[in-house]
Amino acid sequence: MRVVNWKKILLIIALALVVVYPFLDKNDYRLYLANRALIHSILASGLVFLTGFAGQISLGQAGFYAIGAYTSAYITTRLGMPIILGIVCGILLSLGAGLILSIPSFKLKAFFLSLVTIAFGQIVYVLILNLQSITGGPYGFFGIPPMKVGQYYFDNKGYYYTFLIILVLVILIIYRIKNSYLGRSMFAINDDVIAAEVCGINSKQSKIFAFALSASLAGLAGSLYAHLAGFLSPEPFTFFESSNFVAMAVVGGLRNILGGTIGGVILTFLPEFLRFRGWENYYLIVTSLTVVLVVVFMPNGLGNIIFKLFRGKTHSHAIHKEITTLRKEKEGGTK
Amino acid sequence: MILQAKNLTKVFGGVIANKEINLNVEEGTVTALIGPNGSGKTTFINQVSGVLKPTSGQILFKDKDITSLEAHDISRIGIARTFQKIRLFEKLTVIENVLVARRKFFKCGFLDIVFHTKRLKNEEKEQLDIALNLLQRLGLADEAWKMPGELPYGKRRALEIARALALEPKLLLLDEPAAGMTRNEFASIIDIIQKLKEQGITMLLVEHTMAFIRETSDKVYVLNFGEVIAEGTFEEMEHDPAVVAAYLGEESV
Amino acid sequence: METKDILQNLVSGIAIGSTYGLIGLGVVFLWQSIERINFANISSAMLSAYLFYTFYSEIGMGFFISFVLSVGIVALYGLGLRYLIHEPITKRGGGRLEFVVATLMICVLWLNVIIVFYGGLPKPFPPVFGKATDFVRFAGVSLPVVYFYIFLVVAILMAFLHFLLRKTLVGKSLRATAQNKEVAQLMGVNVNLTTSLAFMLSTTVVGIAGILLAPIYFVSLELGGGSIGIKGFSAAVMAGLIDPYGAVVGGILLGIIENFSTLFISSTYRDVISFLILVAVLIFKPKGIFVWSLHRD
Repeated sequence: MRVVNWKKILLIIALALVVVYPFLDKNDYRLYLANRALIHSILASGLVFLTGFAGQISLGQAGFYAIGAYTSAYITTRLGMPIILGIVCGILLSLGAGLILSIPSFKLKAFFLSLVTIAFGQIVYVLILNLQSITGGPYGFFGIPPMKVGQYYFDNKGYYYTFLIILVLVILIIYRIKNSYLGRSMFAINDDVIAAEVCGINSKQSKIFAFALSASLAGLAGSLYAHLAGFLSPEPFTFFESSNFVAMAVVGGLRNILGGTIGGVILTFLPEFLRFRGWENYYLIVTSLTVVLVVVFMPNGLGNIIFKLFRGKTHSHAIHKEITTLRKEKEGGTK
Repeated sequence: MILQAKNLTKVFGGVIANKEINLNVEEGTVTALIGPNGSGKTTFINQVSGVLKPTSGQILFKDKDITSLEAHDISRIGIARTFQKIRLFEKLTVIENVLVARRKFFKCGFLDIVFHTKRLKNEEKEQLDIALNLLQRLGLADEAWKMPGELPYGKRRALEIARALALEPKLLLLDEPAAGMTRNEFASIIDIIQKLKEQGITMLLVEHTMAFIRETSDKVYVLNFGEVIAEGTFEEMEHDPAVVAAYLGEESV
Repeated sequence: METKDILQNLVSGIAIGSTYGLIGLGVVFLWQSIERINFANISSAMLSAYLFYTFYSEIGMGFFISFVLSVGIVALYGLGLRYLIHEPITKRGGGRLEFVVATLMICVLWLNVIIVFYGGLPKPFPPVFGKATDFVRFAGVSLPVVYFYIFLVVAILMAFLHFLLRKTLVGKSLRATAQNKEVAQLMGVNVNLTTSLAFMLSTTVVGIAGILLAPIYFVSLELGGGSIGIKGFSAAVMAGLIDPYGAVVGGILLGIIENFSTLFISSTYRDVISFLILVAVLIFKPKGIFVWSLHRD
């Protein structure tokens, strides 16, 4: 007799819903929010990698986000270059900034590094306000071209599928890194730096790598945002946005490959949801209170709870799929 | 000489932990470093493995100056070590603990990982086989998929040695390998060391247990207050008045 | 540039810098005790300023009672942070990272609370430290009266803290715990008590700094923002995070540098200067610049 696997069916239904969502929801604002959520998920996935996997912390992620956004905006709007080039430059410039910022991480412990990253985020913010000839300062940056394919200018649906594909690719790459020797080295460093060094692992290199990756993802997210919004002002690039990004990663679950996505979606929709349910005065308070409670009482984030429902039990985060399949082959062979 | 320390000195904020230590380790032998607590044995091991930088002096490995190399470079050129207080990666499985040390044998790059190439899969498989063999040699084959925290103390020690061996070292530094062992575990560690010696791995070990040193070591250096006070075979050391005084001095405290 | 300008900038730099020093002091007290950086303490300055505004301007209580009440509530806030945030996280085996994120989120929470109950616009601070137009003039230099109040309050506070740390049993316990927790415990120091005290002291000094800064920054969200926090961290880092006197000196130095950089470069980049100082100290002198009192190798 075949046993119906409800969990699998639920999972397939959930995935199908994600795919057809733009056709189910006619509310354009919610679709726009979904796009923002996807962008946040890309950025927060980078933070999950940086913090959860590599044990580093960044409270200046909005700085990279801003560099990506303004670079792409400038290159496409002022220099008239194609959008794809703008996005690539946005990523590269954030990557460069990430490399520079990773230098202090050699000498500094994680929590000192968090101070340096706050300073970085603030410096970028001050520069946005004051380099008016490039950024438009507090008046904003207008007229950023939308993405298009041929003659089709993207609407929210077009953005939705583009961002969804990018997010899936990002998660896939992070997943592969996690399951490779690179990920293993990173977990080892996170556990015990000295023991890892003695095993031939260059901890500096790993830290630079993690920083560079998370900075590039923030840059990517920023440049996508610039074209989605069509207009940039300094507000989304403050210290509090940086904190918000960290909150997404933590609420989703730092040890979880989907943590960034779960956190990104929840913390993009929760405040808006509360706002339209008669909480318009208190939605921000409720949101940040929720985050505090999750951090204090659910150390592994909401992601792990969802995973537990599906798996029944949690595995060690580091048991690699590759190795487990090989193990099964081997055990099967000896029987 | 596979390892030479020349006038190696380490000062911690006014306290001299190692004072002009001259020490040689001959290839294929087991050399022991003994001395009372706080005599600077672990400090010496830490400097050779690159965990600490010497204040002055030189360390030569196969006649090459490695004094200024970092820990990961030193382990890559063939010096592995274990720790007095066992340091495993507690959040990784037993097999992964060993695989971490196989890092230097991977030739695949970042793009191989991103595209998950055949080359990478083959390499992972190859390294996994090597790691499994190593665990088998140290009697850990059945525990490969457990977490280190589930292992008894003696097996944790064996795992740490397996991890060090995964680097395929020319020189193995063992910091009190028999500390805290039961009688059975003790015998198995001696067995492991003798097997490694037969395989031609040079070892430098720090130990307190005299029985252990008698069984394993070809040459003994005695440290007291950070200085080498005597060197020779175990039998010579046993009767050296300076050595006896150093140990008696400690006991009378 | 005339001597007059130099003097003027020097005095205002010292005045504002000493309040940065107080914020740095908040960082130092907690670091000594539990080796954590408490981002929620950034809010203490903002909270005390808004509390004072409420008690004094809205309810109409006297200056002294308003001051004591707001600072007292902020001290209790410190205790609350220990028992509602630090202890639960530690009990669950959470480390620095969790503490950083949780306290950071509390910082955001308070900003949202203030926005909801007071609105986002700055409130005028009551002229308890003299009106904006009150100046003290001598030798051709005119200085706002508020600076002298700042000097007065900081001086009294420092004298009190000096007395507390050096002369009382409580202070000695605090210093012993800071140097070595295990040894202190063996010597019979009540570490539980000193930890609570450290939490309360750290929010209290930042709370006082908030009331002193309010005439300059207004009663505004800026008092609870990252830029004030960073200035406190810079001052504390210059003191190697362990020297209370060093934190105040570091804060004053920061204030002076900021003021002169405004004069020579541009006021818009004033904040950038303190960030750069923070980064430079962390990278080049991670053990601090002004470290005298405690540890010595």
